[in-house]
Amino acid sequence: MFKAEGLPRLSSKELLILDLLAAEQPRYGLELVAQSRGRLKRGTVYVTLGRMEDKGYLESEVEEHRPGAAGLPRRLYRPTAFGLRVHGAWFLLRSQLAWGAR
Amino acid sequence: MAGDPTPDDVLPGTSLHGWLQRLVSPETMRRIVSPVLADYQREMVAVVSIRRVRRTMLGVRWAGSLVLALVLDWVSRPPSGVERRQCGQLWLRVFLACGTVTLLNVAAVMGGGVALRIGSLSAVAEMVLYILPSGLAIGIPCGVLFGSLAMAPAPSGRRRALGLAAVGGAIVVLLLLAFVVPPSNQAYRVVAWGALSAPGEKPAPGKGSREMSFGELREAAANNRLFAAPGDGRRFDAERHRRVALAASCIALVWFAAGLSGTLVAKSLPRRLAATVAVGTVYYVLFEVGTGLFLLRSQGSPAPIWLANVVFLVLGAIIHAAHLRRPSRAPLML
Repeated sequence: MFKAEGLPRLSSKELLILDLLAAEQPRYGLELVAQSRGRLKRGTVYVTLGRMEDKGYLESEVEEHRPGAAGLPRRLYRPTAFGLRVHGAWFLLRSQLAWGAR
Repeated sequence: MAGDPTPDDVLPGTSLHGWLQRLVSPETMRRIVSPVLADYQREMVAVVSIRRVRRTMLGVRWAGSLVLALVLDWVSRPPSGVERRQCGQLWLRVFLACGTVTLLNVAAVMGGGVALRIGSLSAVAEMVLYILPSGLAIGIPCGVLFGSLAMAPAPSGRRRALGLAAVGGAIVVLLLLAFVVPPSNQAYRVVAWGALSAPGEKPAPGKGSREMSFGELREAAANNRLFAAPGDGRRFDAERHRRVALAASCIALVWFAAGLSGTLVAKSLPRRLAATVAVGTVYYVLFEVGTGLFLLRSQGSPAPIWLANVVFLVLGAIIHAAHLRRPSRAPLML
């Protein structure tokens, strides 16, 4: 059985997060949950985001603390260049597989 | 974590954040705890803000609905065509009396040969325009007084119309005296000065107390208390209180006239007209006496300026109470 050692792996949740982040501006965790229409869960999204940071797909920064804003500053996530390349590759693979299946 | 700004103390999660900083590794704080708490705190703040806006909107909606219901009630209440006609007659009388007194005021101010001396029709027309608001401020209380006196007391539809005339008149007069009359009076003085004096003569006169806004009156009164004779500031204080008292006169006069029309005044219109002139004159005299009493003393409360209103409110209360004591009588006003 072929095993793609060293190739970047992308779970369905991670792919979904990259889908959401690739198109738009940086987003925070709960925003991604809201955008995913139930496919991402509140309880797991932060762990997934942390893992994607470890893999180098995402980078994050704390938003600027505006004067008068209440609460802790949110952490905003955006895809790295590597993450976008992986996302593009997976998109291409998906379309190729879909073409091959016809 | 060192990089995290201090969280807002009032929000839930703040203490938890503090505790977890001691228990959890900085990396976990950065990756999980801080983002989770930040997102939930912001979500809560957003929800609270929306709730606050919704509560305000709800309040406004309720108040608006209440006002609408009251207005609809007022409009639709007179049960018979006769009552509706009578309410229409009230408003017609109010407007006619108000217009007449306003025009008389304008004529009185423009009298004394001022218009003849000016000679320029456009300047006269401009002056009439500028003096109209102050005439109207006196005409409205006279109008509601006559309308109330000329109206037979009673059923609920008419009582509501009287209440509307009193409160509406007071609001309009106060708005006129606060925002419209002072600048238009000053404009009148400037036009009259320009028309009556030769070019290059002395500059137009500065503002008197009746040409000042409420803010200017307050400022002038404070300055005069500090730098001039003690009594001078009283003129400005007096003018402020006179404006509010004059607006309130609509309520006092309607209250009094509603009682009087049901008990003392005969039905004929000429007698009611005579009663209006008599009541108006008494009110005016009391008003001026009260102002004089206020100005006589260098200190003290503005209560004397309210003398006329208090007298008419008390007299009205006595008449209404006497009316209610009689058996099988409906309230005149309440």
